[in-house]
Amino acid sequence: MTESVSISPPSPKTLLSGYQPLTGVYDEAFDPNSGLRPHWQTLIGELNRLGPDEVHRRWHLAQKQIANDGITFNPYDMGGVASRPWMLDAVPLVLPELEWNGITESLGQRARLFDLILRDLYGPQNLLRERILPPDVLYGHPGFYPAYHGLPTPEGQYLTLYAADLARAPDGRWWVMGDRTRAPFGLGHSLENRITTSRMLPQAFRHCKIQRLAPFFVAMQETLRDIAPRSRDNPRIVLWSKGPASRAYFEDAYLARYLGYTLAEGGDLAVRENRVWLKTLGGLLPVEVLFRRLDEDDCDAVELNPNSHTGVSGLLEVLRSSNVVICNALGTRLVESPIVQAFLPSISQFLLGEPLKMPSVATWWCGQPEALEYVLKNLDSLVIRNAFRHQNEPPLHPGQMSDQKRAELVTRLRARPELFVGQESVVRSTAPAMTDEGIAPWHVALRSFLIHHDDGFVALPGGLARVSPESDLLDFTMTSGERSQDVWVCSEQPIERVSLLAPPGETVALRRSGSDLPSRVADNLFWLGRQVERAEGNARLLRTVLSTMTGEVQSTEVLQRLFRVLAEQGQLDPDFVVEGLRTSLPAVEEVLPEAIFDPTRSRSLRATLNEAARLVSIVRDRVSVDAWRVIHRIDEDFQKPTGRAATDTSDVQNLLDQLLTELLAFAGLAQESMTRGQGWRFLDLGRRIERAWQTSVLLRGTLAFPIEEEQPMLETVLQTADSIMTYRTRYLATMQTAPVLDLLLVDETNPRSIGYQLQVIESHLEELPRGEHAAVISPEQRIALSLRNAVRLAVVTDLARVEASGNRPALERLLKQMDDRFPKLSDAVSSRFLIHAGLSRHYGSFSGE
Amino acid sequence: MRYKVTHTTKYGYSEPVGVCHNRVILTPQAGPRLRVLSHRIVVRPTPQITSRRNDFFGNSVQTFSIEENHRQITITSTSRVEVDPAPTLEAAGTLPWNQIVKSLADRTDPLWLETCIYQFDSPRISREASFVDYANVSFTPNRPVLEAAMHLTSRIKKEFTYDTKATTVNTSTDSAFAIKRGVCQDFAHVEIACLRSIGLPARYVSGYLRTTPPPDKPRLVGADESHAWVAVYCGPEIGWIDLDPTNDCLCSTDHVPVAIGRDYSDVAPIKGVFLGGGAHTLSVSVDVAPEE
Repeated sequence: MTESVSISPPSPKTLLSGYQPLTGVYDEAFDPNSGLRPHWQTLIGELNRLGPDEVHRRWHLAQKQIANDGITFNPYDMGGVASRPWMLDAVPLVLPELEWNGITESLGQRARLFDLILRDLYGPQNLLRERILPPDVLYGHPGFYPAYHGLPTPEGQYLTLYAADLARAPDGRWWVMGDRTRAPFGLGHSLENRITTSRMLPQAFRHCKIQRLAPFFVAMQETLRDIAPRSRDNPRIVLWSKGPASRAYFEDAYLARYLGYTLAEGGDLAVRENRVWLKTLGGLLPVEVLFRRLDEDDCDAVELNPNSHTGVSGLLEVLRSSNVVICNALGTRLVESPIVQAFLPSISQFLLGEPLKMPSVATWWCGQPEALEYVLKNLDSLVIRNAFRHQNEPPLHPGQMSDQKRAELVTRLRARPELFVGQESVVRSTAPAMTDEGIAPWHVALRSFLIHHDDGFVALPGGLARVSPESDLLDFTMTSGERSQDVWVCSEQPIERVSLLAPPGETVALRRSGSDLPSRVADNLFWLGRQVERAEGNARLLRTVLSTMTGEVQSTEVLQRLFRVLAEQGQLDPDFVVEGLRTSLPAVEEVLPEAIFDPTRSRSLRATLNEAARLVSIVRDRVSVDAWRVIHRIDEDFQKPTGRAATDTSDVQNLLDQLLTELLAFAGLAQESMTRGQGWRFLDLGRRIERAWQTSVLLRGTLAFPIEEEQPMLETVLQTADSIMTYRTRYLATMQTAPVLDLLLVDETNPRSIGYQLQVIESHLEELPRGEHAAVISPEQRIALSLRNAVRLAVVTDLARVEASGNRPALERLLKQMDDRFPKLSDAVSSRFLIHAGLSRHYGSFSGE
Repeated sequence: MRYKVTHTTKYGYSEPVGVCHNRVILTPQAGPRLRVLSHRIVVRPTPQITSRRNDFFGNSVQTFSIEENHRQITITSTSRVEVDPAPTLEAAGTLPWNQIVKSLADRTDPLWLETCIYQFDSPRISREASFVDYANVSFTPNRPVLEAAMHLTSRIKKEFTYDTKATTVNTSTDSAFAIKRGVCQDFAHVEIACLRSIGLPARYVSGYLRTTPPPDKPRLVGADESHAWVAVYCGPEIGWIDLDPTNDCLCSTDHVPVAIGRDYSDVAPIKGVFLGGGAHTLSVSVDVAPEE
């Protein structure tokens, strides 16, 4: 029934009306003879039922959700390159279970084979001895380190996680285009695609009986748990990320949270006493298993790449004594070299005694004279790749090159033939993809993942599909292609429910979050707290300034003081304070919106928000999704108005109002949804220190040298410090300096006062982990205590008294003390809890003469 | 010939160092011409963790970690060794070099697998056309391998200027070759690059050289040097022959080998990282004392 809908002459309403499979290309959904393939009928039927408008609406919502969740290749911008959101297609790729089983069986064989190759090359080297493989595979590899030889691997296994890039040729057969054996990318994105797509098409998802992804991750957890050298019940497993600058950081954080592992960077780990430790606030905690997400060359600066900053110095020595295991084992990258593909059929015969179940794309290694001749003769129809895929070199298409470039390539091939392979180019199959004109056939690339489990490999029933209108574009990396698709493996049987949570029979030990917070994460949370509070303080002050500037009663003196505070905060050039106000006032009106949105000015509001967004993306495995969304939305919403509105301060005022609301939402989430562990404590500590400091800067700039008619100034200060309501309820309309100072400085019941911040700071410091010197008061406690005492002992009437010189010396003294000590307090907290290690350095090496 | 070799390395830091991880290669490897009578490495302050193993090339590697604050480290390696003279060889009677290259390429040489790692590029040495051109002057077709290699060694000694200021430990082989200046490490790298570029396996040897004082001066303790030279593969019969391009000679009883590798990066005497430390100073002294 559905079939007739799809292949009958298109009615304008259906999404597939314009779908024209290409000639000479296999189409995943349509058979040229019989029309829509059976396993696509449920999905296509459902899409047609929803209709184009509804599908587009849902797709649009899904895109928005992806943007809100910040699913990117690189969550924050490095070197000015904008992070690119993950583009998900509206249509998943559907594969029937029977065909899928064949694919996974073939890939399981391939993964086993790669593991055997590694065991041999790092062991008896029979493949070299018997001349099945040329020694170039090992010793000619630019990433070869002799240190990989003789390293113990988890239970002898080199390859734990493997990914294969597949293409389907016009004859309907699947080919392996490439292998990934280092730290394959894309698992987290496959998960996220599944979650988004199943939310977008819930009915289709249910009716198609799609195999669930969770069992794969359960197998993965079991594998990683079982390879732990000791404490196999509950070993500490660390997902070792390259760090926030890497394009895989989103996925790393996502996987770590999903699998329940600690996300760590090289800097969070240390080698002591011949073991690997996680540096936490509470001290060092032993690590059993490292799930690496970085290249092996970068894992240990002592014995491998000395220029790496992502490694753990001394790791190889710990691996040798089997006190920690790492997977994939070090050195696995050898077998993903395209050169290996050229020899794989004979290796399979030699090591397994059976033929390869799924062929690799035809590959010629130019290091063999006959192969080189073949490649040169057929250059235009081949793809040329680096034989070792060392630096992710892009593939070359000589057929599309200019004569000059082509001649250069031939020269390079002849000079160092052993560095290149030629590969047949495959016209990939097409599958339905969503376009503005409806669903169209786009070329598809499929990445499959396999994890070692028990004695074999288990495949993720799904994977990551990438689609593009041009087949060539999919040959390069995971980031090439236009969009990705979820992969649905449709089952014949009903689907079992699997969850990553412990089975009901198993008792889980009760725990309270303790001190196993990595110091770096605490540091980031601390600064996130400071930046968010700084943004709030700045926004409040700016709002006051703008409303005073445009207000009915313009007090130049009040404005002058406010500009001074703005300059003090680095939001305005100090010139505006020095020059005569009358001449500069119109300029300030124009300059201020510029200054607010200027990301290059280090302390502008925009720069502060950028920093907050950066920090929240780094600690995203520690904050709730909602909290992340709030910051992300701020990042998007708080943009300089364009066009006519650009200089209109009322637009800026509206933006500031909105910003404050969103910042309060973040504060509320932190207060209401974060457990009171060390993470929350550092976030709040940062916030309190920043707020107290901001308030002292405000008071010092506005009240220490009072203006003549102080009433409007006091009102402005109360407004900026968000305490005007409290003041009014206490003192009604009487504006006097002493009660204002009492409320903003001393009163510990006012959550906006400096006294209140100091009280909270003190109690936080009391709760932080203590070392062996617990009896002695620590430096940061000393600073906090001295400040708190100074505030408590202050006599408000003394502070408010104006001397003959026209200033308030007691107030000035107290606020100056704060100005000096809050930065010191922040540094003291940093150096005590957060800076565990400086940069490691190499010994100046030397040689004889 | 017997020697007592004392090799002392001192690091001093302006600020305390909390942790350091080190890997040292300071232990002479016994071989057909070398016996190690006694050997020990003393590290001060005493490391928390020490271990010893043989690396991929068969060198004896010691690793240690010091995990408490320290402002200086002293590593003293003391070895007593006995070196036999090199066997006398008729250079003109060795195999033609291109025959060796061919049987390695055909993988018919019985040692092709053991030697092949020394034919490839290594971290500090890449095979280049310029090295081929330079080597070809000595390696004329069918010339006996040792004769050609000794000729190459002499040319490097003659055409390169010994200059301790011209290069550093990190100078690339290419640039040392371009300026034709440097120290033993550079000369060894250049010669290896030439040999590998024409297909011969060649390796880097680190060790010590006995220095003979001028006739009227006493021997100065600690004034000797750690040294480096080259070994070239001369076919399955003869195996590896050590040549010293810095002194234009075949190595015999004046040379005490410690370690072999593809280039300096495999055998650097001390490698490691440390945390903290501020500015640091380094002093090295080597003493090669002949014994009766």
